[in-house]
Amino acid sequence: MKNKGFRLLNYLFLVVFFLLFLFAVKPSLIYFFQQNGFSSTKSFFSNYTSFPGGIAEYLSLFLFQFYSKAFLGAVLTTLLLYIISKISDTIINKGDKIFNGFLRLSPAVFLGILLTDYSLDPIFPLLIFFLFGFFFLFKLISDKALNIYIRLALTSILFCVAYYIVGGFVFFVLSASALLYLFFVHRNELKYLGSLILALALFIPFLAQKIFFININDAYFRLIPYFGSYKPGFLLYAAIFSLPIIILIQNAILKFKKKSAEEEKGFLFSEKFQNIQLFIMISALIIGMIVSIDGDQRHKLKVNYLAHQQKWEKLLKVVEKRPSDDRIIQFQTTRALYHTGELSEKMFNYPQIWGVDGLVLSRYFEPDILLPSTEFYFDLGFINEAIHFANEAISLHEFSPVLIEQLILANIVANKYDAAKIYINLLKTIPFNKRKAESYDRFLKTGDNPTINDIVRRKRSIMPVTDFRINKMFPQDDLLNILNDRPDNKMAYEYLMAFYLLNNDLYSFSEHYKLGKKMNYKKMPTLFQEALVLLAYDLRTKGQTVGNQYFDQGIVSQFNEYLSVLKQFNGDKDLAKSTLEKQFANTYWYYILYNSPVTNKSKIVNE
Amino acid sequence: MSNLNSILLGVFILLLASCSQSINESNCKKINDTPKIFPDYNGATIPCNIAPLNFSIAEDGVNFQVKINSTTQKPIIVNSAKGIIDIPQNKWKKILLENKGSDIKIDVFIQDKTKKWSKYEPLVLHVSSDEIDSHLAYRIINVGYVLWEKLGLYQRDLTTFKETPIMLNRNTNGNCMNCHSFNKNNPETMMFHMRGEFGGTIIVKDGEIKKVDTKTPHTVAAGTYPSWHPDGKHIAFSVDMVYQWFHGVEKRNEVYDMASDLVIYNVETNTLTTSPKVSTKNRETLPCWSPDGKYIYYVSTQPLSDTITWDNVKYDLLRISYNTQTNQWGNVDTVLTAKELGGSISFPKISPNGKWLMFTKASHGYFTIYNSTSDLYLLNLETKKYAPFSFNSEDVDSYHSWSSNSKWIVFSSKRIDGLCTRPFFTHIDENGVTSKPFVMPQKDPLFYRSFKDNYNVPELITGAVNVSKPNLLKVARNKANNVNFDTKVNVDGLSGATKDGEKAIH
Repeated sequence: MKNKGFRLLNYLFLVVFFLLFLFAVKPSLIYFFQQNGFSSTKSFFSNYTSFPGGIAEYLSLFLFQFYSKAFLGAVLTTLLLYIISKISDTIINKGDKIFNGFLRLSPAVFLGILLTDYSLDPIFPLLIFFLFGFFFLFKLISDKALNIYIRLALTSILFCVAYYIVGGFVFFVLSASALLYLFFVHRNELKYLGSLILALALFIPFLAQKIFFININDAYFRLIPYFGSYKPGFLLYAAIFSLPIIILIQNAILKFKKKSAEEEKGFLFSEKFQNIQLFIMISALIIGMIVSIDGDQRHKLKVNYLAHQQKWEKLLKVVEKRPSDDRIIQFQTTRALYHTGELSEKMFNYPQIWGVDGLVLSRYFEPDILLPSTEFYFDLGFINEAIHFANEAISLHEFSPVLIEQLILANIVANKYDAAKIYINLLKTIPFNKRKAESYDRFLKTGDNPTINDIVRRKRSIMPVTDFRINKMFPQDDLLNILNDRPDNKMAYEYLMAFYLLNNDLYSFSEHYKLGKKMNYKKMPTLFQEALVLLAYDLRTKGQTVGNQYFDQGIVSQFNEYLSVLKQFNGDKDLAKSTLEKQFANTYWYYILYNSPVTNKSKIVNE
Repeated sequence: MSNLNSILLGVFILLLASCSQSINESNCKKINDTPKIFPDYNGATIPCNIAPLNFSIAEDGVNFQVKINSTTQKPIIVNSAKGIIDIPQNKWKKILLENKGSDIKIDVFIQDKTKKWSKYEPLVLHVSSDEIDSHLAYRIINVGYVLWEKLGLYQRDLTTFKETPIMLNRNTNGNCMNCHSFNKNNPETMMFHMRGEFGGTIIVKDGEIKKVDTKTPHTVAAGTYPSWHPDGKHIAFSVDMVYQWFHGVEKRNEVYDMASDLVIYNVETNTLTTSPKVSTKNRETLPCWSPDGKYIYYVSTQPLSDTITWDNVKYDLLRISYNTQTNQWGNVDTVLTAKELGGSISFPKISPNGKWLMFTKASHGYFTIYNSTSDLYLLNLETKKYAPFSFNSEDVDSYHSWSSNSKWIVFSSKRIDGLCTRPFFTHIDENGVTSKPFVMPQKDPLFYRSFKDNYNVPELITGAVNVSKPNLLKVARNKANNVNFDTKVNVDGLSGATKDGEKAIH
């Protein structure tokens, strides 16, 4: 019997994991990052029944949908860990063995730490669960005093089912674990049962590559889901191999070390030592999870997630607290600034080291930019590009409800109701999204949803209508084309101006900033004035003028002060940097002198 | 017997009764119109060996009954609470076989909330006595333009609903594959390209599988669009430098060739040949052998130039003779010009009986799958007269192929939703009269309402591709063998110059 402390510590382990997973890792961020969808359609299911391991993948995708509800996701994952540790408890015979505390929780600790990795494919926790589960069933069969033929038959069925559900690699580990178990616990069974398992381990994958459309390597050793990008590391293998290692330690080392009556009363066999082990494992879990969370990645995901939710003010607070040079964070910050009306005032309060490639992501194509870009183009009313990028994104995340919803909205705005209907029907098949899909469906039928109506009306009013050829390397041309059609598209205007500023192109800026007259600014935005003051200064040195332009006196005197600091250092910008930074770090003048990738001639994006 | 058993038996009897009982038609309200159904099969001509045309009734009602009438047997009755009509396969098969060459009428009854039944005007299907080839091969691909993930070549048994893969890119690290092609609709002789890590052209012939790299130092690209010579020993390819750009408004993208030429690959000697006549500075592409193997039909347009805007690129239909025995090229003939047609020509496909050439006409270019102006046209090769296909839609109607008996055409169309291409079949008689097309039937009639991927390059084949999967995968993952470039060819496709330094004939 286990003591009360042991039980309490076990529960404490789960509570600790639950809280860390829910609040530190945040399942909703994992969900948003991975965008793994699930569909209840028959064709989706059929796809996963067509190869060994597909069923586990299918189930993992289904369970993954619960991550969209952070609390449910955390509960489910904790439950999975609980079951795994319960099974490992059973495997180690519930005895008062020396290392029970360590052994029973080791898979859960490895898995717990592994779950802090945002890119961990959801199949792995489930594969480990199945590994332990199938081994547990095998143990039941081999431990029961059944007729040998029945045992052989049951084992054959179990291994065939296991292979089909978990696929090659985990099946291999299961087979190895079963052989180890027989070797230590039922050595006399090795001849029949052991031979059978060995034969099954070799034969089933061989047969599978004949039946299913899979190659021989995958038949024997596939671990990563098809099209998965996750690179397994030590922790994953540790979690998987913890099963045979538990069997090995529990049965090998301890079997050879017969305990004496004297030892049984000693500390090593005491409840206290068991509790200490559990305590150590809990500490290992806490430290492991906290240390292994990638703070930068979590920050980036949080920013992306807030942008997706359009919580712009919160996003700005988050990036203020933790400034970052990440390209996508810069991009989302700029979006947030636009939506809070501060782009032309505070753009340089935030890092802009990526220049124009942090303003518009699509000049350089990488999978990371797809969702942010489709949302950005939708904001901009550039619906064709929103659909283009959503279509690219959905190629990689087939059933992502976020992307599907984006496609629904974009197609509705583009008046392509039949296309929108396909995505609505698809959305209906994704757990937790049916109601949302039905509201779009109703909108298509009756048009009476005020929220959707409002979005559609607003987007249509700024959407370009005259065709042009997109040149992805020159997004300023696209913005100009949009403005030609929709002179009141404020976002296109501000982004065009921001593009020129970030590109150090003051001449184009001065040529086009007048387009903003229709935007009803109360006064010319600060950054525009800073740019024009700088241009006026530059032109004056060439004997030219910027034309009639009124500047705020404050900005003019600030610029004079800026010049005087530079003069103070005889124009040596390196020497002047720290002094200028104190006063002018948030100005365009400082950006163009020190941070602009154009000025610095830095190659910033590698395709 | 327990209560539960009695209830179950009662339910079973009721179900049985409801399945077979027809409605008393004299009590039905008559509706002088046919019901809306999806997919729209009403009025279509269908092959006598096609799978059941399951459909969904798009009318309001609480109960639905469909009666498929036949002159020779008892009608098939299908009941549904949701209007999903799932026709029993065996009965359907029988009714088609017994009604070859005649019409079958489908009565649709709909019960409203007040329990009153209405009877609509019957739907009519004409059952052709011409069989369609038993299988359709196609690629399933997502709607992306640059990226893809899951992708596969599949075959569908058209007489049932069974779909099986021919090749799946999950086995080759997610690479792209395309342009599957068969010799004379024969599933035993096929080829397809693989791109990326395991790049090469897979050729399957008489159970043998090989993989070749058709890119040579003298050609602008590897083989792209293929056409098998009827002898099964030669494949004509275009070699295309393909690019794309995107539209800002309404339309999606434009796919075009920077340069393209024609080559012929000899499967047996592993040699690639061409001629200055088809490797000109003009852009030649989309070859198609005539069924007698004497000519290659293809399309051609001027070289890429700044003076010709993208929407003014028009392809003409040409042909050139080629003797596979002597490796001799004839002269280029113009079959139909874009100017005469008033549009650009693409995808010439000749019926196996050599009588008809079906092509796609579009406003510009040759890559018509993104161009909603693309329509199908039929050219009579004997009379040289051409006419638009009678059932072109407002949306894309493009890539097509013939059945082995020249009686059926499959083509890609986006007519259902404007988004995804679906395979449609149409019958063509001796006089070139085509019938209303119908979409490939699915077990779930609403399948196309939520399937977001494209059916790409539909090709009719006379049976299933039965190549050994392990062997195919083994070859697919091997390195491709380089092809040899014909030493007698006096042209360099890269520069357009003759090898001896003289200008190539252009």
